[in-house]
Amino acid sequence: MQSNKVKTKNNIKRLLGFVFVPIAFTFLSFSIVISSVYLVIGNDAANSVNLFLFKSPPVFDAKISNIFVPSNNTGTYTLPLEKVSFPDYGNVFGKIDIPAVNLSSLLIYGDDDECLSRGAGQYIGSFIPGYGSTTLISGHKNTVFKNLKSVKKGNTINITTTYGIYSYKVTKIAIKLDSDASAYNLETKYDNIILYTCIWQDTPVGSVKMRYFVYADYIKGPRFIK
Amino acid sequence: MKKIVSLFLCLILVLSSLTITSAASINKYEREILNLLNTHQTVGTQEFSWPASYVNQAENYFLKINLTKHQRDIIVPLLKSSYSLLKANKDQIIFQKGTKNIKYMSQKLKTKLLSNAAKAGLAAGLLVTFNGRNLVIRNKATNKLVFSAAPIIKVTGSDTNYVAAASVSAASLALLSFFIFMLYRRRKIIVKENS
Repeated sequence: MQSNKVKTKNNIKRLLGFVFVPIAFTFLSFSIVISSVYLVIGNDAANSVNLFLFKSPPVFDAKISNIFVPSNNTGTYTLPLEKVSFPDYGNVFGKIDIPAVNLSSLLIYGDDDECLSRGAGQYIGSFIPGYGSTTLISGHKNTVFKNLKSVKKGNTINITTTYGIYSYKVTKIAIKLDSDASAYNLETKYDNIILYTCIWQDTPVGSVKMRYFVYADYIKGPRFIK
Repeated sequence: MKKIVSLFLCLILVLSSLTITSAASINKYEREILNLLNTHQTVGTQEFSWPASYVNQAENYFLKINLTKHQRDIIVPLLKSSYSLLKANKDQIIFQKGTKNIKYMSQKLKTKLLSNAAKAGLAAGLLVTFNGRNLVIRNKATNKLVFSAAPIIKVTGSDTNYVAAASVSAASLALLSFFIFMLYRRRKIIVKENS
C-alpha cells in the first residue's frame, strides 16, 4: 500500500517534471538565443537568417543614379515646372538635413528596399517638395533616420534639391500603425512633409508594425507654377 | 480593389508613355483624365473612387510628359469603357458580399481587363508585370518603375520576424532534444522497474 503511494507520488513528480521543466527550458533557450542574437552577434545574425527565411520577396526595382546638383537658391520664389528635371524612379534628387539632431541623408525618388538602403526615399504617390502637397519620406531607423527619434516640435528640416532649398518646421510627432491611413494625407493642397521610420521601442521578437511619424509644414523654398 | 484600380491606371499609363525629359505642367488633357479618376463612380449600390496614392502616381507621371489630344482620345474612351464594363458586371464583381476584392470578379472579366492592359502596355512601350503581390508598371525602355500598388508605408527597420523565426526554431530544437532525452530516460527507468 505504502509503496503504491510512493509510486503515485513519484509519478506525479515525473508528470510535473514533464510540464514545468520543458517550460523553464523553453524560456532559458529563448533567453540564450535572443541574448546571443542581439547582444553578441547583433544585426549580422538577423541578416544571415534573413537570407533563408523570406517572408516576402525583397524589392530591388531601383537602379540608383544621381541627378542631384545642390542648388544655392535659398529664397522663396516661383518656378516653372518646365525648368525642373523631374526625377525618375531611383534618382537621387536631393538631400535632407535636420541640423538639430545631426541627421543628414540623400533623398531618393522611390522607396523600395534598394532606395532605402542608399538613403531616405520619397514615396512616388506623394509629390516632390514645392509642388504644393504632401511629400512622404521614409528612412531606416538604424541608418539614415537613426536620429529621427530626437527630433522635437519646432525643429527645422531642410531639403536641398537641384531646383531650390526648402525649410520646414516640425509641427507634430506621432506613433501610429503602418496600416493606419490617418497617419498621412496625400490629398493636401499645401506644402508639407511627413518623415517616418520604424519605432525603436519594438520588442526583440515580433514584427515591426508601429511607425514613428514626424510632420512638418513649409516655411520657405521655391514653389512651382502649375 | 487595389488590383482592379491598378488595371485601370495601367491602361492610362501605358497609353501615355513618352520619353521622360523634364517636368511639364498638367495640360488640359491630363487634367481631364485626373478629374475622371477623381470622380466617384457607382458600381451597383456602392460608390468607389481611386485612392489618392494611385491618382498621385498618375499625376507624377503626367508631370514628366505632355499628353497629346490623340492620346487623350484613346485613353478617355478606354477608361470610360472599363468603368462600363465593371458596372455591367456589377453582380459578379468587386462589391459582392461587401468586400472590395478582385477574387469575386469573374475570370473572364479579369482576363479581359488584363488583356487590354497588356496590349496597351506593349503598344505604348510600358511593361505591365505582377511581382507576386502587386501589379507594377514600368517603362519598357528604361525599366524605371512608373506605378506600384505596394503598401504606402514601407518596412523601415530590421524585420525581427526573421530573428523570431530563428529563436523559435532554436528553442523548438532544444525542446525536442530535451523531450527525446526525457523519453529515453523514462524508458530506461521503466525497463529497470520491470526487471
